Amino acid sequence: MSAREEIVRALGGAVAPAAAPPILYTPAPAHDTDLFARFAASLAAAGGTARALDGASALAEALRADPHVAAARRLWSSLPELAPRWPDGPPRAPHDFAQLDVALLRGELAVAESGAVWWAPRDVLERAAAFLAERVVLVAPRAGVVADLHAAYARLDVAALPYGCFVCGPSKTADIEQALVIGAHGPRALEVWLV
Amino acid sequence: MRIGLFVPCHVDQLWPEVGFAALALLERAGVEVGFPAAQTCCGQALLSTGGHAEARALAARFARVFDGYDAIVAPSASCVAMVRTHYADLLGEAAAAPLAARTYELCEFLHGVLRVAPPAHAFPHRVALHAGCHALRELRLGRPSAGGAAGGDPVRALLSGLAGIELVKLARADECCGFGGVFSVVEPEVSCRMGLDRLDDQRAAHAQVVTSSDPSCLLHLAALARRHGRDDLRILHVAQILAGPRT
Amino acid sequence: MTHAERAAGFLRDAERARWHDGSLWSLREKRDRAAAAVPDWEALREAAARIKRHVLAELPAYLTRFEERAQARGAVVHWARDAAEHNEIVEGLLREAGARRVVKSKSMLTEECGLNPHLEARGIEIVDTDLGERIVQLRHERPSHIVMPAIHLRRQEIGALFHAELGSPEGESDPTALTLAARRDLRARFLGAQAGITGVNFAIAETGGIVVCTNEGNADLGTVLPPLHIACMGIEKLIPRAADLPVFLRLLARSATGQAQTAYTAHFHGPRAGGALHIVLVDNGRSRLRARGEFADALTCIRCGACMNTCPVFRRSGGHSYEAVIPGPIGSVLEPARAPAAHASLPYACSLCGSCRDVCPLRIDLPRQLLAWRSELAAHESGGALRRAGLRAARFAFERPRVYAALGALARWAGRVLPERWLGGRWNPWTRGRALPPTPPKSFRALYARRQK
Repeated sequence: MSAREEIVRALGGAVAPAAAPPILYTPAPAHDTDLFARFAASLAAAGGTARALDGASALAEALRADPHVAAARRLWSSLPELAPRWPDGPPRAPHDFAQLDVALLRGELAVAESGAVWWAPRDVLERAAAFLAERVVLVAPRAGVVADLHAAYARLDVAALPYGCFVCGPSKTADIEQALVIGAHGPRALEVWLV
Repeated sequence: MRIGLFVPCHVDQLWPEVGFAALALLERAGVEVGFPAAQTCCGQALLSTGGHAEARALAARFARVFDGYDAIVAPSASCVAMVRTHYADLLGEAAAAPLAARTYELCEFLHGVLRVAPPAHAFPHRVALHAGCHALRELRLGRPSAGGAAGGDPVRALLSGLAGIELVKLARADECCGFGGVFSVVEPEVSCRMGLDRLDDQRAAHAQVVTSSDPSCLLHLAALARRHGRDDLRILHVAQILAGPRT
Repeated sequence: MTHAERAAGFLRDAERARWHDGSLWSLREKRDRAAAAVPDWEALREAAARIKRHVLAELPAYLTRFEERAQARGAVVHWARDAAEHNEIVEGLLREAGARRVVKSKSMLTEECGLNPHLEARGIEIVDTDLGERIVQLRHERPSHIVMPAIHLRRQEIGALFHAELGSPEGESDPTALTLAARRDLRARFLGAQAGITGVNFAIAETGGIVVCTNEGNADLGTVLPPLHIACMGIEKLIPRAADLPVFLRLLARSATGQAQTAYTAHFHGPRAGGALHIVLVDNGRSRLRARGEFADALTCIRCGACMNTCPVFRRSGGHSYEAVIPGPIGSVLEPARAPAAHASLPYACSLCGSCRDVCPLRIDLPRQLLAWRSELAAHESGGALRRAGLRAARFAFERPRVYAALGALARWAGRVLPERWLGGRWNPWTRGRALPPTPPKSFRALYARRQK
């Protein structure tokens, strides 16, 4: 007997569910009106920073004025507003990002309760850039701020792409005496710009 | 209303004053109190030592002994928790439910059922209230720091009426004292460390008196205090404080 | 050795024990604050428990549905009856891909299966990339906590370890500098890895996807750089739908560390372009535990570690005192199921304070399960026969009030007349740190009888 058959049999064997899953949990509607303020506070607690930008021109201005973007030698950009920078030629494999300064990514949806942003990269290069860059800026629509994860999952198709991730602040660890250190393996700084 | 007073085995043998203080409080409240002489132990010590069968026998015995009393009251939250939360596993829901519904911790009964006026005699001391784990997390008498179901805290409510009493604030308001029945002898080192940590917390809050609705916690803490030269703390059962100097 | 003996050893270093207790207590406090800030916390716990219990009841249906959907997305699903089979499957996959350098993010399952020693013995380099796990891997010891594997170590010890192993400056003990040293070392290993292994926090039956939560981003880096991703999971990790995830995600990080959400909550649906995704479903005793009604609830555990942080015994005895893959209250329920004789003392490493039940996001009634184990394990304990005899004797006395009263009187009389050093000898665990209890001349019942006359 295969391992599969044996395990399924040890579990009782029935493969047709007898009961429907419990109805989806939905919390009482949140009464806060300023979702952006709540998101910004949550993200700050997670070690990131949030900015509200008014429209395309404000985004363009922010990109121009950002000192880290300006100083970046190697830069990944998923934004049409800014060209990537590859002084040694465009990357072909994730390994080419070993010295990436900044990654500008497009987030879909932001969660006020936790400060997380849903981001689903188009390809493997973008996926690698988000973790190998020293600094990540996630640009997401202001209208995409939802109260909590329940609202987020109700709006998202998390299975649409092979990989999607809620990003909640920069990479961090507290594994040494519980002292919080930002920048464990991934980015040391994370900003979310809500446009 | 006829009350059956349950005096837990450790109180009966080691701390009879607590039994008499409880008796005095109930009699002063004007209820008829009986002490069925056939009572011994609720069975908790046996259950926590892995003796389900033995505990079941004692649970059944407890039910027989207290049959006919309108309410069963004990100056021990832990024993009451045994009746209310574990007897159902031992005796079955049907047999345990009527027992559970009329078994009360002393302060809970005085405050919540009889609604006695809190005593107002003078007790001008700084008092650390040790929240026994079973009072708090099984009977839910109080508000556990980790959240979850919360109820009123009858011990605090009754003590608060005393003239001059000051209930001190502890750094860890509901940390276990480490008694835990059989735990105290199977894991004596951890058990003592836990108890000493409680005494340290109580002393850091400048408490003069430590009290609780759980006499077993207090016997453990008193034994630690005596052994480790912390005799500056007086350890009293809450019934002793509430009954006052008249007993 | 029993847990009590190992705990006594841990407590001998009083200063470290105090520090360990304080570290974990501060996590408990962070968890309390985080939970209190969520208005529907109790409703979430209720919902989470209901979903997981439902899944356990319908487990074969959800497993086969998950398998079918995961395969439809291009993942390969494997089934392993036990640890050995799991290790062979993983080894086979690595061999097939010619992978000799592997990075792994946190997975208690691979710890349970002993995957690292299995692969190392066969010449495959496997590097734990979670910082805490990397630290204990370099020290050749097991994690002392499932969320913070190196919580038992001081920064100076980690500094000395990194100086010896990673060449960080001697005497360096600043957590930021040490983390940076590990980051540099591990970055090179990520870039050179030929395969990445991850655990699984949740598997979604409806979509065939898996979800992995980390703060470091190590699961994400370890699966985007090498082309081969092997995800190892216990069969209990399933949830019905993606829309059930928020219930668990809102509970998990808050319960674990007090964070609202982990830095990364990665969802994998099929392999990345040009890569492969293998998912190994492992039983290893879970189906047996599920069949035992009273302990089945332990399978709803989502491994947040909150029961460890709150446990007054764990805080004062350290994770290693459990000598178990999963230490602490939940481990004391799970481990005896795997090896009763080896773990017979664990259900007694508990004062029954009930605090673990209050913090458990799944509301697992851990104290009740530990009690159930106590009666069941008497046969496996070193002092089990003696204990059973004691229980029978106690029952005999407690069922006969006169015998009970006479024995009580005798004991109190002995306490008054015998020298304290006899009664309080080394043989008596009560007096190892405590004075003898009071021995009043008369019991309550005797005084009461006199009063009634």
